Amino acid sequence: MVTMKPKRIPEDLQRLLPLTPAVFFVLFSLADGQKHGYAIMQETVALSNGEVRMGPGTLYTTLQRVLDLSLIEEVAASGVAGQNDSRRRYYRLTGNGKLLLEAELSRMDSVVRLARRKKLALRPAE
Amino acid sequence: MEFLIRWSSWIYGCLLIAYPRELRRRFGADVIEVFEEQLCEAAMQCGRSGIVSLWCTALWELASVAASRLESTTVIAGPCRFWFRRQSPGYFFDPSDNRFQISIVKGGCTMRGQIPVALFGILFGRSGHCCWTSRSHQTLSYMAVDCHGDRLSAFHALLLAQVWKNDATVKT
Repeated sequence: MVTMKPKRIPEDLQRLLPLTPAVFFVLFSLADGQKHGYAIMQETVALSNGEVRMGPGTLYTTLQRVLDLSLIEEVAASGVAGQNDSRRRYYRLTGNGKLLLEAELSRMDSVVRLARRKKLALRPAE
Repeated sequence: MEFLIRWSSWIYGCLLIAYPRELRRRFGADVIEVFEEQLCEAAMQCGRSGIVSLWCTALWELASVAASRLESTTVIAGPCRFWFRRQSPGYFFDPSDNRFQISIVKGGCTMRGQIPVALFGILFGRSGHCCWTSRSHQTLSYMAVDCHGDRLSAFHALLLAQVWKNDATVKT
């Protein structure tokens, strides 16, 4: 089996691992392109099968944090293809954000592989 | 239903006072807008019960934020914590706002380090000022903010640095 090693991430970002559920789902929902706040919230519900529901306060506290950490950046609404609602603020992942997300996914993957090796009752997702 | 949504969003906007000032300044309008969108969706899907359920979630979130902000005050160590609790039981501040802080380069989390903070509290505490301390990268940082979450003026911060007289640097 071939596994990809994530690129080396800066030390100050490594301190953030493991990510909190809120940070993880914000980064994860932005992985496939830029979104505005409400879309991030809906994507989080979809990605977690409804298990993680963030309120607007939690969402924007998290967005503020990841913006300050330069994990995501704001994009001008006019620059977003197919989404020209100028009232909204759109966000996208930065290079560091992608690296951190990859590192977290890789960490989760290794935990799952370890659990399988220990023959814990884990079934691969259908 | 439209009336209910409008009022809900207005009340929610007022309750945002529980959040840090910096968050309200940067994202206040966005937070309310997202809540409004949630309200519309909840009203469409489940009617009034949807709105009530959304309010329960929102109030729970607001309560947890308020509780965590009060909780964060306990990082003030030892006698200072006791003093601040006695003097200003209702204070709160914003620990996420780190744009203004005094870093003690050659410091440590010692009693000596707490004295200037206590002095600072005695000097300015009665007018509602308090300090927040944290440990980062082996240096002890004092972030000076007032009871409304506003950063202290450069004058106050520099005064604290003078009181300290120990390789203090002031970051703005």
